[in-house]
Amino acid sequence: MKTLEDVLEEVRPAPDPDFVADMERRMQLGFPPRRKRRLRLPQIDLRPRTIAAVSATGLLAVLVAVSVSGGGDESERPLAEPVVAQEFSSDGAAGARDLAQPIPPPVGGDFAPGAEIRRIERSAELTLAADPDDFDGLADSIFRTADRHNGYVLSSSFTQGEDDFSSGSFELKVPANRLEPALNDLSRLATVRSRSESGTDVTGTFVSTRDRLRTALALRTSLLRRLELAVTDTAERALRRRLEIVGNRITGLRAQFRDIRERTEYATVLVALMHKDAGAVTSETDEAVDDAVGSLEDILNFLIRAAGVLVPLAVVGVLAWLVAAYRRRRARERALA
Amino acid sequence: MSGEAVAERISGTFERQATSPSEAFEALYRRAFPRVYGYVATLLRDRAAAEEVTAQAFERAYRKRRSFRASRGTEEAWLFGIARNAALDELRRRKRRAVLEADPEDVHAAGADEQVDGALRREVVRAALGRLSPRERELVALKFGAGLSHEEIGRVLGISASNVGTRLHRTLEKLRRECDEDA
Repeated sequence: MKTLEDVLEEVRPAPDPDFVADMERRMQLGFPPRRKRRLRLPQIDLRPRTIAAVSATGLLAVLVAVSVSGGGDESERPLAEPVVAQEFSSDGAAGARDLAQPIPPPVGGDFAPGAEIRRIERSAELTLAADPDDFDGLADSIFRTADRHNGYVLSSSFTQGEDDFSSGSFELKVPANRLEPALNDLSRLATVRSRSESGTDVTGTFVSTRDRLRTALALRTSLLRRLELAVTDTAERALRRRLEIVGNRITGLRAQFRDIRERTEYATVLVALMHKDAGAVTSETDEAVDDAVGSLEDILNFLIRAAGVLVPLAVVGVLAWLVAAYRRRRARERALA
Repeated sequence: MSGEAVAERISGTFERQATSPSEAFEALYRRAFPRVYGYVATLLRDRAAAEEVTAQAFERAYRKRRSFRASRGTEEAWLFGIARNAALDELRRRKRRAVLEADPEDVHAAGADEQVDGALRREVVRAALGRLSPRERELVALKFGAGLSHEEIGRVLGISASNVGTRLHRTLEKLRRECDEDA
């Protein structure tokens, strides 16, 4: 008599011979997909849960993009568009309102073609290396050099520390036409580590400011004439108000004009003092190492920013995957319930 | 880590003697195909669906053959786990309980008078199996249809081997009672 266990093994369903043959063939072919999958247009699932998931994913993607690209940094925002200069208007209240606007910076390029005299704003930087013990004497020499070339020292700072930490910096103003001789004299005071000069053509700004000043002066003359001829108190008050505004404007333009003229007539010379041994070993290799370290820092910063977004995303993804796997397992088990 | 250990991790060894994962998989296929079909057919009680799911299970297993890790259980336990998931997915898809559309025929059909008793007994057992719950039927299928050990069944179902033994014992007792009632 067979036991229940024996019978259970006997009643095990056996595969159909055709199916066995088909599977054997498929095994030899490496189990290629049996059904040709039909191309279907994706069906859009509009259930609220799906919409919420898609929205959340999109939002996270935007956050990643914004965060990785470093967006939102106030310091990196482009500068505002320059304010367009207000033109004078000689009649009516609108003119008074226009005049009340703050003096805008000069607009347009500084090239100003056709100007007879070019206005160049010059500057130079000089780095001198010397023994810290000589710094005092060197500072005196710098003052004397500025004086000799009819210039002056606008600011200076001097730090007396140990060895490499001694340093000094001076901002000199020398007449633009004496810049080269002054630099030559300064260069003779100590070992020159670096010297650079630059010039910016501000002729356009200069001409623009001058023309606007002339226009303002002409307008004031005109207003004064009209004031003499004013017959009513109202007209007189309006003209005085406009005169006051034009007067303020002229004051501002004169200041601007003076500033530009001074910047072009006097060159700025920045002199830095350093220990003669400091940076002496600086070589191209050191600079390359510095560059490499800088690059690595940039990469690290980028990775940290990216990780700040990607790690939480990964955690959310893993949690979602775990929940989905759990729900799938539960659903499968329910099929047996 | 030794070279062999690395090779095992990389290949996801099916059989030590096999030379490649594909050959190892073929050996597993030849060893387990009838049992996988038997298990799936017992669970689904639908011959056409059983063929579909069996083929699907081997396709999935073939695609995932490199992910097999011997440390997580035997090849059979791994394969039957895949087959089980495919079968349960099929059950879910159909949203119906396994219904006996066409009872698997008696492969040991009687050809002589002396085999009639055996055929009748098989018929009784088959009918009693149909009255078991899907969970109980699955347990029987894994044990007697697939020929898995308690340890392997535990791996497939995610329970302990001793738990498998207990459940199996209860199920067999129930099945025995059902058979006695039918007889």
